[in-house]
Amino acid sequence: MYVVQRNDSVLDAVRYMTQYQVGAVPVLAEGDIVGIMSERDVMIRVVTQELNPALTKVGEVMTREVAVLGEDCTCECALAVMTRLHVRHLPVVAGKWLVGCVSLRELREAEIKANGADIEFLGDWSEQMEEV
Amino acid sequence: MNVREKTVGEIVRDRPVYFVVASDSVLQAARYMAEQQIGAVPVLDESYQPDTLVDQVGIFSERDVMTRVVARRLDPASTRVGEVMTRKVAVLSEDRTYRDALAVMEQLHIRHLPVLVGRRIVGCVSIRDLREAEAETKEAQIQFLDDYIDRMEEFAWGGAG
Repeated sequence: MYVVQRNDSVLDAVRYMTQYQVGAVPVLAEGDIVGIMSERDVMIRVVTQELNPALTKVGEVMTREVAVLGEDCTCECALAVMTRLHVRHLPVVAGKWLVGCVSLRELREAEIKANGADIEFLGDWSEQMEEV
Repeated sequence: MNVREKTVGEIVRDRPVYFVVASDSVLQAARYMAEQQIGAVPVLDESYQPDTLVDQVGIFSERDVMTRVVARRLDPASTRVGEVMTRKVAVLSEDRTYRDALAVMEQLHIRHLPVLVGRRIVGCVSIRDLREAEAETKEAQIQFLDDYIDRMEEFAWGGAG
């Protein structure tokens, strides 16, 4: 489970998210979930505003109103919530405890498995421009 | 089932073509993406002039901003998109369906696909676009089935006495 703290610098949080290849991460303060920060928040609230990531705290740029899912929520329900809210990550809680964070990709993979569909790699999509 | 699946060309048809140029700064590109509310953007060669056909040389996403610029402590204002974009770009021809596009995105773990007519970019589809197309198709299929069932029932009732 990946989380960051409200007082972490944006730089530290970004390095953490980069290392673990996550696009969004719940933010904690004293053990409670206080927000969520995504790569989009970093681009829009830090980069376009020309803030210094090393000197800016996660708490200053995170999204405070966090939608969360109960752990017994179905994948279908989770997908519907993500579509409605235009988000790609949702923290999962059991009572008031954070138990994880689910991504659109994970839900999509679960949906595909449930449908028993094999995604066939399409041989004739084209790759343009070789790596220099 | 007689419901035709939407092509990616149809999805992007009535939209402006979003792009940045390889010589733009990361800051300019980030602002452009924020204004246009997009998460990734095709990158054209820096020789671009209006009304010329210029090759796509890469694609640049909000994730690249975070992982290749901010995480590395590069200055967005003085770093050029061409230095940090992805050069190897998966693209799709405009006549492919939304299902083809979904399969490619899932296979490659990407969320955006530029759409081409020949070598010309005519737009870029996102995973959200494809999910909307998928939902539309499912609704159309349900409607088709409902109509079919209605017709069958009429036939059954009409045939009796």
